[in-house]
Amino acid sequence: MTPSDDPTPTTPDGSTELPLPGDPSYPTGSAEAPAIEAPLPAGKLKQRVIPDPPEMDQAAGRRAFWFVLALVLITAVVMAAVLALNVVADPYGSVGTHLFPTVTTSDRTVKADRIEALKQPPQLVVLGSSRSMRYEPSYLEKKTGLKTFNAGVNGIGGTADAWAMTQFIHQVWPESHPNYLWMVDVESFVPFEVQARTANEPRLAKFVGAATAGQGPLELAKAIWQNRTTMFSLSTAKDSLRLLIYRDKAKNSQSKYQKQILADGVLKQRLWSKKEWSRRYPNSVQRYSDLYKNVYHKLDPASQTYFEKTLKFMNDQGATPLLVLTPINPKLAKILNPLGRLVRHQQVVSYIESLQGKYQFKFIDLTDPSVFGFDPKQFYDGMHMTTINTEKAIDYILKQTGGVPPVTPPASGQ
Amino acid sequence: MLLNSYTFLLVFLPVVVVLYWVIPRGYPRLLFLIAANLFFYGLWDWRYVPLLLATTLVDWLAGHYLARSEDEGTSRRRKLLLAAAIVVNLAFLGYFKYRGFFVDSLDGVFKLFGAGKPMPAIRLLLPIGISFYTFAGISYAVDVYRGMIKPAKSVIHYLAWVTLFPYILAGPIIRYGHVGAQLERSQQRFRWALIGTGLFFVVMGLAKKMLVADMMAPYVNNLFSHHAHLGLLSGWGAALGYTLQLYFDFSGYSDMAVGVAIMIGLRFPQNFDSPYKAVNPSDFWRRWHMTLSGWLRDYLFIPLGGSRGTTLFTVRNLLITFLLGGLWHGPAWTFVFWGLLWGVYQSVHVVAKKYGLTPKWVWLNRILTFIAATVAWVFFRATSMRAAADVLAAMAGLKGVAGEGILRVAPVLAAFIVGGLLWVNLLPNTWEIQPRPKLRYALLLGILLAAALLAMSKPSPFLYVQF
Repeated sequence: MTPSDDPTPTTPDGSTELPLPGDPSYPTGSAEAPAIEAPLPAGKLKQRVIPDPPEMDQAAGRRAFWFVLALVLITAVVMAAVLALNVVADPYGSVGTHLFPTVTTSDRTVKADRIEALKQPPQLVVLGSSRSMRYEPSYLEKKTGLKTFNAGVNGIGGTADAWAMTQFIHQVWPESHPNYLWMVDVESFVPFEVQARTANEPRLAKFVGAATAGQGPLELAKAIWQNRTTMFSLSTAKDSLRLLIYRDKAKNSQSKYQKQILADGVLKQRLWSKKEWSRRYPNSVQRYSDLYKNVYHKLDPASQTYFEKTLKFMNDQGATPLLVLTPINPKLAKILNPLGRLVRHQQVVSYIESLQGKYQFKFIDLTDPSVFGFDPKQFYDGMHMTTINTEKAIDYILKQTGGVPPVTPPASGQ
Repeated sequence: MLLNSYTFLLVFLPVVVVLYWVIPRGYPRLLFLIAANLFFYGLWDWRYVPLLLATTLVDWLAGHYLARSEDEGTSRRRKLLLAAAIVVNLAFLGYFKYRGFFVDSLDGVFKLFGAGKPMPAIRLLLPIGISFYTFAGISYAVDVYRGMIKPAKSVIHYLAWVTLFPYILAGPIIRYGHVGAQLERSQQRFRWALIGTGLFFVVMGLAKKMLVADMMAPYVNNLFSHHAHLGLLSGWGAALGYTLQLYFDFSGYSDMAVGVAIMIGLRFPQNFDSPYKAVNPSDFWRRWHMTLSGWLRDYLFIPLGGSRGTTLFTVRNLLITFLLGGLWHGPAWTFVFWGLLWGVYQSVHVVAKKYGLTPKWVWLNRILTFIAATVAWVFFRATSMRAAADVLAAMAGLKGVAGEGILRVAPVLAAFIVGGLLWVNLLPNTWEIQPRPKLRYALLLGILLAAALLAMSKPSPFLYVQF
């Protein structure tokens, strides 16, 4: 970059001796620059020739048109081929063609498998999002004497998931009448959308009206449009090809939840580490900040409908569920509160309390984890706790509510 | 709106290109271009559109008055006017980009002496592209002052140039004397060759970004985020990976900007000329981010006296220029150090050249320059000086060979590094390829475009957008 190294032509005063831009003789591209080699005083600029980018022959008008057309068509053909491949293979079950098994086994699928594999029906079911997945059935069983199953699944929101899970358990064990520990999040009422993972598990999808099998071309087109990012994707194409080539082997290679979710539905214990915290906490700050800033501005009526529908079903089955508002790491709460979380929290509490006369349930707000003497170091991130904290929470819940209320099965035995 | 987004590539760009050529030449077309530019910029955050206009119009006004007093030469009044325009530009840039940095640094100094309360920390959203349009604006005022260019024909021409959407997010830094002048000339007629050439550059740039840089990014990010646990191999994997990722990312953006500009009949300057083929630090900066290094040369290094003095004087000017060049990239000590390091490289080269100590073997020069650049990029990429020191210690073998088990260089990253090194050393760059309207070119580019579009499933901004 030192000017002395630069061989470009110069002008003694760097001003008007050279043609100016706009002048017919102004050098652009391949034009010959005036070759003046006099030394340049400090502070003065060289008039430099800036080469133009290489271009197609300007005279090749017709050929250039065909070139552009061919390029666009080839692009469209390749993209259409990839779309067709992804729709046919449908490796994640996004559009519901169901011609091949999916390559991913979601936590919904594993939980449904575990429920079907139970030797006796659960007497207590834990429901909720990922935050509920480390509430250990074995610990609850020790404290309550009730055979417990953890049916919590990943995903923000999820009142529809709770509905689907209760329905599925009832379908598998129609004679059973479990009670419920429902870990509700302040974020359970975000704008409603049936989780794709639920929609892709046929045993649950049918309860939330998201079953996709046997759909017509219009529905298929709609599903493709809704999943366009997944469908027009190279990584999806890679999985589609893997699926077509390896079939069931492809499925097994992706099912990480098979090992992580134990027979009673709980997520395998994992020790806290500083490294894990450093990796996960910033992500939760980002994720929930975005949620409160951009998405979660009011409680969503569709989420509320599923919430109440589930409560009614539980009551109809003779259960009086324990509703618990899940804890949040105070460090994260401090960041999210000004972004609208504090207001949403108040709205959720008011909403649940307003249902007291309408449905039977016990409600306890654990948003502030200091009420159960939490260990601040036992949060994996901003929301998820280790079992050290979940056990403390369980102790507190049972103490405050006087234990899990007994179930009074309906007389008709429905 | 990102240049590598469906919205831009499939909606905004085709609509703007079609309307641009449909609208009659002259002021209507320029007015449409300004509207498109401001719409594009406003989509990011419309509240900063007035800032963009205010900053750049200061330079237009300065240019206007400087041109009217051209016969006064270098009078005090003209100098003051130019200084005022530069100060206003730098004040905007300083306030929005560097305020937090300087406040934090001052706080650190006060804390060191055990005095003072922490100063109120205001974190402002950085107006995107401010570093680029501020430098473009300054170059305009200075060029008019120097008589290098005539002032813009009208404020419409000026605005169409300074807000031009292909460059506004991340450069290249365009000058009125080059691109603005093209807008003033009788605008050319539509030709399919323009679209064909533009597509060639856009596809090449998009492919570099989506199919190379972004494929490497997760591996490189993972290694840098575990800087304390790297070993010799993973340390070099991180550094080489980023060296190539940044090149493919930024040269990809520059290619796209050039291509988009060609589609509307404008020629942008070259920004990359195979920089990793450079044979010395000076050569590197004639090939890397050429429009920035050209700007620093013309508006900082030469006014400081350039290399027309003693060696010590040249070294001083180089250090100042690169220090400020480093700071231009961002308000962080890592950037300052990165700039300083390049200043030192350049100085060493100047001294070595003077005493005939530079190696004669071209390949050795290339390897030395490449390693120097790779080491410097570690500071550019690291989130702190500590992180940079960790990576460099790992590269020096001070932390063992393997590093932590989970941090081994993934075969995919290793393949990209080997492939990338071969590419940057052996293949011609985009500007060295002559686009031809042939079916085999269309086939290759069509497949590349489709693959790049299919790789665009989630937004991934170009690295230089943050500057």
